[in-house]
Amino acid sequence: MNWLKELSQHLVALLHKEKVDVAMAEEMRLHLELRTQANIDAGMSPEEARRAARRRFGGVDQIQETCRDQRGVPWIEHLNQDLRYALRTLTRSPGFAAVAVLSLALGIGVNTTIFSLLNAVMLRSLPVRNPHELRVVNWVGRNPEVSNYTGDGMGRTATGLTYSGSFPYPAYRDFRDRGTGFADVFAFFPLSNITAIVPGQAGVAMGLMVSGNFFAGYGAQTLIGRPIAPEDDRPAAAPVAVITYRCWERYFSLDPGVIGQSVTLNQNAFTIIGVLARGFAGPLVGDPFDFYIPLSAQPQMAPTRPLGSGKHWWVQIMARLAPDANEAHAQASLDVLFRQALSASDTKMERPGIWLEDGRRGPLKTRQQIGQPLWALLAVVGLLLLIVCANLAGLLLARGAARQHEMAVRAAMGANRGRLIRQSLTESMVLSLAGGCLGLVLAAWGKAGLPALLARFQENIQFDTSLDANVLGFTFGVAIVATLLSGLLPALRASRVDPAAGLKDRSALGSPRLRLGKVLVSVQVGLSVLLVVVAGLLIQTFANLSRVDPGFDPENLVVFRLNAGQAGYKGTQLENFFENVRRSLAVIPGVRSVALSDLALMGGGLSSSGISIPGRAAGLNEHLQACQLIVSDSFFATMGIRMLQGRDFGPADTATSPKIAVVNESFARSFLPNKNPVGQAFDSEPYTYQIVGVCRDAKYNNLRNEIQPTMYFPYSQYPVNSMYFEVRSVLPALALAPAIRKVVAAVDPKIPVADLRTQQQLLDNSVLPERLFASLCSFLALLAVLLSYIGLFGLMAYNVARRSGEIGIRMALGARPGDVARPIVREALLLAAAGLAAGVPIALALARIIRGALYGVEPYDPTTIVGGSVILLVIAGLAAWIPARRAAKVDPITALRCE
Amino acid sequence: MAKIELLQGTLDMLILTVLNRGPLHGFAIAERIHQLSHDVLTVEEGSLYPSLYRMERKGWIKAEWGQSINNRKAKYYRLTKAGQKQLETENEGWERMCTAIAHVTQRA
Repeated sequence: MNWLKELSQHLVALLHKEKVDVAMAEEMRLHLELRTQANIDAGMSPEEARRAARRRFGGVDQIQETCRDQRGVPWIEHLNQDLRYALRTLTRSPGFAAVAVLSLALGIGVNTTIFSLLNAVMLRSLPVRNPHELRVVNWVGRNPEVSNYTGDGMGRTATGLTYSGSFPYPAYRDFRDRGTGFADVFAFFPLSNITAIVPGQAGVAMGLMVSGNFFAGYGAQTLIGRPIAPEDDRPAAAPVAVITYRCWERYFSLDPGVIGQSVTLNQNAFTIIGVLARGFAGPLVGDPFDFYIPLSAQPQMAPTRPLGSGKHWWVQIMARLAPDANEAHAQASLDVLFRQALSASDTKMERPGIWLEDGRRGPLKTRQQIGQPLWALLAVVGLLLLIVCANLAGLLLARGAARQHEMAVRAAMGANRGRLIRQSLTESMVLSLAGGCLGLVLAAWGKAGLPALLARFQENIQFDTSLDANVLGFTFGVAIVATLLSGLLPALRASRVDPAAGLKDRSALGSPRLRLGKVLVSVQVGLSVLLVVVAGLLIQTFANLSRVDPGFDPENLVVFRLNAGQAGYKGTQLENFFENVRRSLAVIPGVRSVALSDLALMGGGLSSSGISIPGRAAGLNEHLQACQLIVSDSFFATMGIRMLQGRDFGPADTATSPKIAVVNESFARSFLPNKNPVGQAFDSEPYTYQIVGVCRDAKYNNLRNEIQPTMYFPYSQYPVNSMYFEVRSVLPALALAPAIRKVVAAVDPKIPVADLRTQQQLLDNSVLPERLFASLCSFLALLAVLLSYIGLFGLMAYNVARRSGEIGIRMALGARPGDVARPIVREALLLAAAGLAAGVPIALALARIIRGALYGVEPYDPTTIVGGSVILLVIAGLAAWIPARRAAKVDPITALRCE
Repeated sequence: MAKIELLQGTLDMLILTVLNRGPLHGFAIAERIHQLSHDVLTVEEGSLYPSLYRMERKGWIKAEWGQSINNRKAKYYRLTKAGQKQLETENEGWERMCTAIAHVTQRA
């Protein structure tokens, strides 16, 4: 701790600098006086005595300076000086300072924004006790044949094995009861689209079913009430629920009396026993859940996945290691249990085993999916930061060149090279830190808009993007990197000054030509063209997608979903209920027609089945797949999908009449070529269907993909629990919303109107990521182009100022204004062209990488590349325009007089 | 008698030694070194001060303002515990060096 004490003394000394200096002077004066007195006593004359004393003492000023260095820390004092000096010089050129700080703030701000999101998704630990003890339990194996599987999808390990985090419940029970080395092994399963009825309102909610030891093992507490306990997770236990803070806010207005109230989830009553804290986040990414309920509610809430079944793979498992546990032993104990569970079931897989994944961020697979585009974005905004730095470096170079005389003076007065470099870097650091602070403010603003980017993965997704040490460290680190990138070259250049030459005469020194500055400007143009080309390709992608004909008419069409099954309707009751609602909707003024379908077109969902065509050669009849949609009559008319042949469904098609289907053109073309499809039959387990009509192709769930063969079945023949309503009206689509809610509530108030959107919104949402990427990249490209303009302008203006004497001479010798202006514009264009020559090939390579994200435009699209290049050349010309005009207006007499 | 230039690094030890007998101000330290060396050792008196400031920073000595003999305010330096320890180590080192040098010069 000695150095700490020393440092504190330095600081004290620094703070009391003046007082200490006075004391030091006083001390030395006393010394000199005493010596003088001693000399006088020894017989010298007073004058002689004083001189002898001084001789014996040495140079007072020098000694004082040495004392100061001995007493304080020189670098702190120097830093202090440098900071003051930097602030003074920067306030003297506010324009430069503003451009520098603002461009840095934008560069650092967008980087911080993207990083905060990435941090929230990928880096932050879960907000629980000792997150490093958590493990995600996965099974691994080769060629698994797993049926009844629900989960994130299977992943592949580095060694080529398949892995997944979904287990049968009995396997979980074995792990929990017989696994060794764990403090707790807990399980959970997400439920979406729960119909929740709280006193007075119905809504659609999401829930997480958890094992009784979940909260103990996960390490989270409730804000009020108590968490779910093992006693609650028993078949006979009273059903209980813990609600999240968001749910408490949304449904209960933060009423503290919520504990003990009852809430109905899919017709089952649960008693609320606790509320989770606002900062709570569950193990799954984005934690969109409202309710936590015990897994013992499975028979009611997830009836198709029996707890007792070893064949259904669905629960996800996490574990908390015991504090002193050996992880390898713990894993081995689960290995054994997993193999036993496998041998007792009919599931086959080779080399089965257990993989304990680091669990401090919960299951990683979905996080990685969400994180991927963020890494791409981080690369793009990193590019922007490079451009900002190149731009600033160019500006600093020109500034340094203009300040050579000042540097020469400082060097002559004894500043060594290191000191000059430090001074220049301090100035860049002041700029970068100011930019960083402003960038944090911009990031706070930018963060608000970005979660929309992630919304396509899941609704209600929420991330904690607040500032933390990671983000602050990142921003600070970026600011330091920016300081070095932008400041180091100019600092090294500025310090290479010959004091003798510099002081002789201002003009003898001359202003140096900025070869490095030219390189920097070219680099900037080259980097900018990357962004411009990428932005151009993404804009075209978005525009092409927006122009895609979906095959139906999305205008004035409202879509919403009703889940009657969760309200207890069964069999024929379902159709009766839906038809009741349909009739009531049809009489709302302005409504032209109403239809139903089990999925909304472009709503994101997709359903498909295997089919076979009788009479087709066996080899051609395997693995045929067609998309399917269960619809009401007049669905095609309501959606604006034209019938090409045959008939629509009608009242005659009932549950007992022969099974029929309408197919689309692709279906007819692919499976029944050269035949009249109407009247043909096809098989799809368990029935044979007769085709009664053919309709036009329409996009199903994705604007990008080719339209697949699709079959439509009448919903009168297949009772479905949950249906989407399509309401076509003459009104602006959402004007109908209140009337729709009223009508539905009048038929049955227990059924919430879910996912009410316009068809146009569904279409827009499906291209939301493309739109966000296109607008983000355009914004970044615009900034890059603007910075290129500033960089080129700065360099050209500097050149004109530097050469004004020469220009004056040429004008005096008879050059016309155009003769002096033209080379300046030409130089700017050449610099830009050099940048383009390097940037365009890189842009082409980059475009190939993002090929998969493009639609309707080739990665080497000539229009985009030529267009992007032309934009930058025009910008270069514009940047040179004002300096060129300034050159043309140089008055020979004034210029020569200055010289 | 000829004056001898002070060996590099020995000034600290001399200052610590004279302060070991009690607090002194800067001028008195210079005088005392001069006297104790029987007028052989002279320091450029000013160079005393950087040494004093450095040793104060290291915590070997402590400075206080007090009254000097003729009623002037003066800054007195006093040896601290750390300073005494430092003096011991420097003395030891010095003695070892002297013996070593003596060994060499006697045997050569």
